[in-house]
Amino acid sequence: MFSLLEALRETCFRKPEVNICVLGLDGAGKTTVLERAKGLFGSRLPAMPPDKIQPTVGMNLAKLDVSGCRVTFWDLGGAARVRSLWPRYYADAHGWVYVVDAADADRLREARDAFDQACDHPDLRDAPCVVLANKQDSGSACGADELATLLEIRLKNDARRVVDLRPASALDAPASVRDAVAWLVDAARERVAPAAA
Amino acid sequence: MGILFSRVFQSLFGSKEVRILILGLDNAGKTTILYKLQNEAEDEEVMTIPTIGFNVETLQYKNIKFQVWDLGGQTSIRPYWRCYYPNTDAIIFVVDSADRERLAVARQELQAMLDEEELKDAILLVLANKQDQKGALGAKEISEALGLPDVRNRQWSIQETCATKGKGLSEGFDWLVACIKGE
Repeated sequence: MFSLLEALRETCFRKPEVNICVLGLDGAGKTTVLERAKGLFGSRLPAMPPDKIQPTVGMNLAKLDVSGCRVTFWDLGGAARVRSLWPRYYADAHGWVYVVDAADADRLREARDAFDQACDHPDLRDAPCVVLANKQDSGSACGADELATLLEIRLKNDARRVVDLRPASALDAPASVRDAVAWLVDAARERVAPAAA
Repeated sequence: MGILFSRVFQSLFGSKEVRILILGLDNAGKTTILYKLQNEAEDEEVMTIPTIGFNVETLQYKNIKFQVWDLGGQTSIRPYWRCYYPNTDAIIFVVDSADRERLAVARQELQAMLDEEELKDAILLVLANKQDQKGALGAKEISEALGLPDVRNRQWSIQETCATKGKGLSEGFDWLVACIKGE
């Protein structure tokens, strides 16, 4: 009886389900961003302290409630040898976060190439994207405008998709992560099939 | 009442026991991994024989108590794995990275296991073992071959290991600990 009611409640009040990929080079701070988001969007689980986070090889998962949606985050390992696994998740993604270590000047080109590749992928062609110019807490971080020019953010925006770039610090400025995630989920929920909405 | 009391006791004094299954085809290196984990400091070689049935050990690692079950991997005894599924926190799936012919079988066994209702909350660590062997495939190839990127509802990680030399094991286990503590 109870399970019947539960099922009824589920169908009546089901939240739209949104899938988000978290991409970026290794060491960009994807997992830290995700852990930060876990803390911000009231997951029951305590977030991992940043100093305990290790490089991801594989996938970290988080399911959070963001602006009335049930959002699944897939944080994918960013090391070059496992980067080719990213596209396997694209077809199911409604939006994506791209995290850049803005303080690592030596790898900005590599970050741009990986970003371009993801942008050009047909499965992400319509998916909204937020780029986080992360690690703004570090003195040497390049600014958001500079990074936007390098990544050609303006050209990536067109009739089919929105791409937004924001300065962020997953360590020191939780608000930067919160606003970016909320913005992305709002943009992505429109792509969720109406049946699920 | 007794359950309530033991819950309270557990939350007061911590040290929850984490239940881990080590699974994989026969001859993948599961037993070697179990005993390398147990005797981390010792450098001596672990001699094992094919497991028929299971080995179980309790380990203490970074303040967490682990109960680790190493189940025999031969075809005839794989059906019994499921008897051990309830209340499992994490699965360690071991693959012989050099045994290309049987990767498809490993994939089948893994996927069947991931479909099990009783394991739906367990996190998955894949150990691409025997990296010292000639022709061993890397983490990326093994991920592809096992269909790991199709896993959507579960946290997973892969680690290249060489169990006989103890390489890569602590990295893999650190990941498990971080995930379990984060949860």
